[in-house]
Amino acid sequence: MSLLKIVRLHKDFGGVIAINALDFHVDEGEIVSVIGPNGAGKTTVFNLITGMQAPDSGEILFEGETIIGLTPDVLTGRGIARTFQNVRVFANMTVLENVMVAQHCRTSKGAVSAIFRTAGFRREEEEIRERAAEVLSFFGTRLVGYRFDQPAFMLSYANRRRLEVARAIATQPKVVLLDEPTAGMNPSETREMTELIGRLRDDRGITVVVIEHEMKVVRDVSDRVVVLDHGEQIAEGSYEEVTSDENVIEAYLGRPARAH
Amino acid sequence: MNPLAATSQDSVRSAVKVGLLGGLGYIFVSAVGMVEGLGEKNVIDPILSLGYLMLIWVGLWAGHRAGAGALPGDGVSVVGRVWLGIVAGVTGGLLASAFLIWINTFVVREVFTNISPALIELLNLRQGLGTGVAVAIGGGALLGGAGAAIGTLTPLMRRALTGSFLWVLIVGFLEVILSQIFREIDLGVFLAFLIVGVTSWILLRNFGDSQRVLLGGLLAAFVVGVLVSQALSEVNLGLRFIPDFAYINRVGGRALTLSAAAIVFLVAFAATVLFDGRRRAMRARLAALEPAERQKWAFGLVGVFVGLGVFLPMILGSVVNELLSTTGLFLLMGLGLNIVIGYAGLLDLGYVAFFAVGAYTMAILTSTSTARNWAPELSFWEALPFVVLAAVVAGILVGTPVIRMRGDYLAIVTLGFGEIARILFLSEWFSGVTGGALGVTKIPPIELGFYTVKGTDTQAVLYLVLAFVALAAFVSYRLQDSRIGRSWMAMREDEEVAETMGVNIVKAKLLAFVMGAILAGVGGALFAVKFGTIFPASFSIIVSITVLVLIIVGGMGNIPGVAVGALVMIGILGGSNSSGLLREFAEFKLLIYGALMLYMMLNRPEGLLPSKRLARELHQEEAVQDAWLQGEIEQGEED
Repeated sequence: MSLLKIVRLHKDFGGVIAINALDFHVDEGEIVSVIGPNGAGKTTVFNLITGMQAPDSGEILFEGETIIGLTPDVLTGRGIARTFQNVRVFANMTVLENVMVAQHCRTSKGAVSAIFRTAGFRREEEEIRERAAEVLSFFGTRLVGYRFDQPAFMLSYANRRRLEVARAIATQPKVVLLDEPTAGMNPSETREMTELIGRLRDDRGITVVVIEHEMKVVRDVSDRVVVLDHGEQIAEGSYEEVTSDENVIEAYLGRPARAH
Repeated sequence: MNPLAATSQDSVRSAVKVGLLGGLGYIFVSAVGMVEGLGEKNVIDPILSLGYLMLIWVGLWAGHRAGAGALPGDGVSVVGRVWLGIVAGVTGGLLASAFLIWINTFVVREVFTNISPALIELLNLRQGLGTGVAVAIGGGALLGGAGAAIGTLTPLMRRALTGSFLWVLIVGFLEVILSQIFREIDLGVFLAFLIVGVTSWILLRNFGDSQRVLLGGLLAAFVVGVLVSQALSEVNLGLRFIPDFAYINRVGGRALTLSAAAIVFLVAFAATVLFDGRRRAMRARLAALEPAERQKWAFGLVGVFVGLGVFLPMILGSVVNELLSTTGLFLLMGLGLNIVIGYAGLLDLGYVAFFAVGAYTMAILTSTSTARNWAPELSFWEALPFVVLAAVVAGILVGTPVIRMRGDYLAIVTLGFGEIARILFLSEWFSGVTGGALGVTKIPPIELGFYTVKGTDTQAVLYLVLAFVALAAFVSYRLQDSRIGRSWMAMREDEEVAETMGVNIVKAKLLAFVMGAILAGVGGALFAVKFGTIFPASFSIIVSITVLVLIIVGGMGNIPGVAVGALVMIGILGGSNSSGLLREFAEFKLLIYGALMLYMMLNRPEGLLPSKRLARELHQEEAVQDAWLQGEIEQGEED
């Protein structure tokens, strides 16, 4: 059974059709890349899956159940996490706090136990802290040590992207949606991120859906590639299949001029 | 030789400009009535009244700016700078003279109501126009030169000079408090301070690692202190000769005598100069403290405040106690609004609604007046749970419709809610319960079992208010550093992202509104008991604004900051319907509020005592630059 299944999904913004009769699915343990030219509707798909926007028609099934109409925080609780294309870390919170907040839906202690600092509250705080440190250690030495207490705006661009990924992992998701995780990174940082995406699945068993423009990354990480154009799926298959598909080439490069 | 020849044209031009500004300042301060209104109040008898102080300050400021306007690279000498100051002073003086001639020649009172004959007399030094003009120009030159000269001193001397003068002013203004303390202080309170101080010092030094020993020891010291202070409260220390010597009775209130002012000035000056090295060393040591050590001393600081809270009300006298309990009520509201705005980032401009709900619930449930249809006549403690309950309901009622609103929209809608609450309490429709425009009267005092806290008993009211403030500060502090506090913070930063990170926005917002409402509601309940009577007019929009301003001035998101804000805005300047320590300024309160807000927004938007986070947020660029300079940040790692 597919972990995530999208059936005839439709979304338009005041006449502009963003997603049109889209079908696709993600199996558990897969790494699926979503590619397509600018404006193809890739980020909109992510917004629909995470509940930030509501589809006009169609169905989104997660673990076999419909998730349409659920709010983002409930979906995070179900096990869907995401990062953002335009990095949106909590800039004025520290690195550690960013990752601690992300565990909100996995923890439960409320105002009363916080005021009285009950034993349960202290235990939970300790766990949150430890888990945050553990998640941050996923990136080697990049985000640990003195970085814990640094406000996020002080991080370099690449580190902010890493922090976003860390925050997503900290919600303990079943599937994580990465929106252009290597945008703006230099080649060595991109290689590192490529490897990390693989480790997300191999070490942590998280299913990954990734929007990516860097074809080298797409080639290296994907089990399967889905190509969107104008809100529709125009091709699907392995990297090799997709890159030799005529529709895909046409979408990216335009129709070849016909010889007279 | 012309000493100005060495200075550049630019600095002379800017000196003239600053001088004109100074002249406008002179005209403004005179025309709004400050010089005359504050002329009665002598700061230092007989030479300096508050009114003249305003004018002198303008002159010094202009001179200082003009002197500092010349850049170090201009090669302007000390003499050159003083000359620049004099240029500014004379320019300002000329403008002021033009003003003087105008008001001496024509009667302009019909338009400018504050330009009265008395003001003209004051500005002319009661000697006619000629003297007035001479004093304006000559005094301008003198003050301008002095202001510029102060700017050329070494930093230490400058600090010593300005600091000592500030001390003289502070001692002058604190007359009410200081005379009261010296007159009232008895052996008991003195010994109590000594006992608690010495014990906590010893405890912190030797047992700083064990919180249990610390707390137990401090508690014991406090108990002993209170017993001693009660037992020996009749033995006056006989220090009343100090205020009798230092202050003298005058028409506008008691003023500092010249000799006392000189002593204060000299002592402050000597202390600044002599202890400068020690102060620096202390500061360096504080900066180098380990986090654990620092926490220990923070603990000590809290102890000091608790000590002041316990023992000071005994000797402060009713005027100051009254002032402090009003401050405490506003601080309670400030702490609540701090949760709503400072932590959760929800700009609530109708905060007074919760205060009104708390006050009315307490009043209606406890009042013994027979004027209304419904009066259950509960006691304070029986009614308090209902106050909290009513606040919770009000928080949810206001919070629910605005869940999806942000920023400006939220502000406007909550502003409306604030007014709605007042109008509802005022309406005829509910007047059987709320008393309509007549309000609710005969709210009984609080029975503590061993003591009855009457609203007129300022000392007891202050203790009660302080206890609730301490409780509110404790709750705020604990919430801030918890899962809930972090979710508020995240919501403040980026609501949408916080939601995708699993924060339930509806719950988080409602909780923030409810916590804020509870604190304001309890504040309102205390307000009702303190005054014994409440009217709808007490809950106008200005209360919301005042509370908002006090947390902005103090430092949003930081509990000590809110306390400082409350002290400055309510304790010193005076709140919406109470006067502060500077009663003389009451007439110009709104003007000062405005000026203060402008100054804060331009120069210190994070408030007087900001939270680390807010300071960072408003100075992100500087912080990044600093970190970069220290090599803490990598700019795009190399391949």
